Formats: sequence, structure tokens, C-alpha cells
Amino acid sequence: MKVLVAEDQAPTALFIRRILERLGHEVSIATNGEHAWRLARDERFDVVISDWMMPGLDGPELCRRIRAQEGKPYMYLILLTCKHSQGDRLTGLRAGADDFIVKPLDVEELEVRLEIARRFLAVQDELERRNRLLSDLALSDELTGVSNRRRFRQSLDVHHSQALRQGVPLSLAMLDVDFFKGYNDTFGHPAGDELLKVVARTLVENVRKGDEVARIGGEEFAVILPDTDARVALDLAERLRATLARIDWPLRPVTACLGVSTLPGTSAASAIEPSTLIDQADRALYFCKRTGRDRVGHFLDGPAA
Amino acid sequence: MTESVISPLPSPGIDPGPAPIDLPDLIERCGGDRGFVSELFDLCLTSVPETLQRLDETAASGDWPGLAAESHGLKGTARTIAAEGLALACEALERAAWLADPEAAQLGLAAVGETWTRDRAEMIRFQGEMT
Repeated sequence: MKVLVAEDQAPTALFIRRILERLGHEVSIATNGEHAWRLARDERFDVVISDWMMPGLDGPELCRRIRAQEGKPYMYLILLTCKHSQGDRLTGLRAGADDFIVKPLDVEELEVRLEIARRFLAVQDELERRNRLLSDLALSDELTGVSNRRRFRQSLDVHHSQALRQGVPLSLAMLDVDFFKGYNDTFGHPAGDELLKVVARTLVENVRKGDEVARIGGEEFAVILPDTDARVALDLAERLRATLARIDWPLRPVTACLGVSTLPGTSAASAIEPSTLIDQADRALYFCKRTGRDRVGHFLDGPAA
Repeated sequence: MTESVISPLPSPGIDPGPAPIDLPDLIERCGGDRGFVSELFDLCLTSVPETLQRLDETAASGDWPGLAAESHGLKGTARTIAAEGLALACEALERAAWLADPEAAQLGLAAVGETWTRDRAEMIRFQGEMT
């Protein structure tokens, strides 16, 4: 484990360092509380072993500061103390300490307490990993693995804000698979699901780095195109359409329509909300649908008129 | 609550006892590595005189919190090297500092100086055996 030792007495610091290194840990030494706080704030440690009394910032205050940090990985805090009255223990625990070690340091006890820390941190890591997994699952489309509607809306909001702040364009392409209902009815839902997976994979493989693909409805997909003006967005949409149409589909040819809208990188952009961008792309898409299939249109080309 | 509000102790002028440093215990805690013990002693022989100087300065200026902190720190060092006599002398001095008792502090300083002199001699003897 990566261990930070806060100890102002050089011989004691050396003693702890050597013992910890002998136990296979990676050790950093801070010679006072403020030094320890800077290291704990700026670096990632699994365990902090801190003397209680140090010049300036003492051990409990160091614990309080570390615990007050938000969004940082959990650090297991052990206070080194010559005292072990109940009052001291409560003060330390209230400050955020997880454990105590009484001086003079007993090597075997230190080893056992670090093993407890390791177990605790392993549980903590697993919990964080599962939370991340849950979070990913909550924002991913189960069938295709691309972003779901919720993540699409979050991403669009973020890209919209960035575009306004940076004065760059942002485009959005909405895609709908042509005659998907008939495909499903004819070949069954498993075949329809397979089709959707192929469409999602094709989109992901053919967009640029930084573009984001989402499935936002049954057979409807969206592609967020950051820093992309209308002309480039239309070219990209056309390329996606053509790529899908060229696939050697096993059951029957599959095509799609794409409607594109663009937030211009100008002062006029501030009047266009993300929901407006979606609405414009939808209108362009359904104009394509009304006038045929396997085509691409941009809202600015007048499809909504 | 501060950690240094310690339990009642004998008066500061304690008897440092017959064994300045419990070498077998220290060597065992150092995993039998006498070189490591020697390294610790080297560091103590350099750093403790500086701490003693600060003890004198804080006591002379009536800086009781400073004296308590310095004596507490030296107590930790003493326990690290199994110098229990020095640790007890430091503990007594620390208590005197928290009580802001000049007379007890002077006795404590004297006891710390006396035990350190013995510990220092023991360390030098050990270092001589190592060479």
C-alpha cells in the first residue's frame, strides 16, 4: 500500500519508514502536519499514519481536513499516540481517524493493523467499483451498449454549454431506421434487436473521436457532433447513411433517415436551447421520412417549412 | 482535550534506572538488524542535542506550550529507541510544562540532561562495537 507517515521526530520517522518498507509498503514521510496535509491533498495514499502532536497542524486536525475533502478516494487514517484514554480515542474518532497505534510502535501490531486497513480498503474499492458499474449501467442502453436517453440529454447539455462558452458550433444528427416496425413484424423481435445492435456498432465505428452515439428510442438514435458546423455535419450524416445502406444485411436491405440541426458558433446561438436543437433535428428527420426514405436533411435546408 | 494532559506521575527528579537503553528490545524491534539500530542512533546523536537546546530555550523564555511540545516529541523519540528512562524524564518535564511549574521544569530539564548523557554514552559505545 502507499502509506503517508506524518511524524516530526526524525528517529521515529526513520523507524516507521524502515518497518513499513520491510513490510512491503511504499512510504512517504511528512515532517509536520501542514506538510502531511499538502501531500494528502495532492497525492493518493491508501493509509495515513499520523503522530498526534505535531508543530502547527496536529493529528486530529489533519484527519478533519482529509475527511472534509469531497470526491477523493478513501484514505485509512491511523493516529499514533502515547495516550489511550477514552477521551483521546473519542477525539480522534470524531476527527475521522479509523484506528490508533500506541507508541512505542509494536511491529507486529502495526502489521496486523495495516492488514485491517487493507481489508477495509478492499471492501471500499469494491463498493466504488460497483457504484461506477451501476452508474454506467444507468446511463447505457442495455441492448446496444451506447449511451441511453438520459446520458444523451446530459451530454447534450454539457456540449451545448461548452459550445456557447467557446463560441463554436454544435450539431446534432437524429437517425431513424426505415420501416423498422415492418422488419420486426416480419422477422421477429430478436432479428430487430440484432439490427439495432448492428446500426449502433456501425455508428460508433464511423463517427469521429469526441462524437457521441446514443439510442434514444426504439429504432431512433442520436449523434452529438461537437465543434461541427452544418456543412460538415451533413457530410458526416450522409456518410453514416451510405455506410448503413452498404451493409450486406442478411434478411433484407436496411436504410435510415437522418435529420441534422446545428447550433451556430455565433451570438445567435444563445437563443437555441438543447431541446430546440433536438426538435429541429427531429423536424428535419421527419421531413426526410415524409418525402421518401434513405435520405439526409438539415433543418436549415427548409425541411420544417 | 490535548494528548499531553497525562496521568499523575512522580515528581520530575526521577531515577533514570540501571539500563539506559533496552538494547535487546530495540534490536528485536529492528528485526535483528544492528545496522538499522546504528542508523537510528546516528540520527539521535545528531537530532537530540538540537532538541535539548530547544528545551532550554523554551524553558528559559517561559514558553510552556513550546516546552511541552518539545518534551513530548523527545519522549516519542526515546520510546522509539527503547530509552525508557529518558522517556519518563521527558514525560515528567512535559507535565511540568503543562502545569507551567518553573521549579518542576528545572528539575525535569536536569533529569532529561542526565538520562540523555547516559543514553548518549550507550549509543557511542554501541557504535564503537559496530565499527
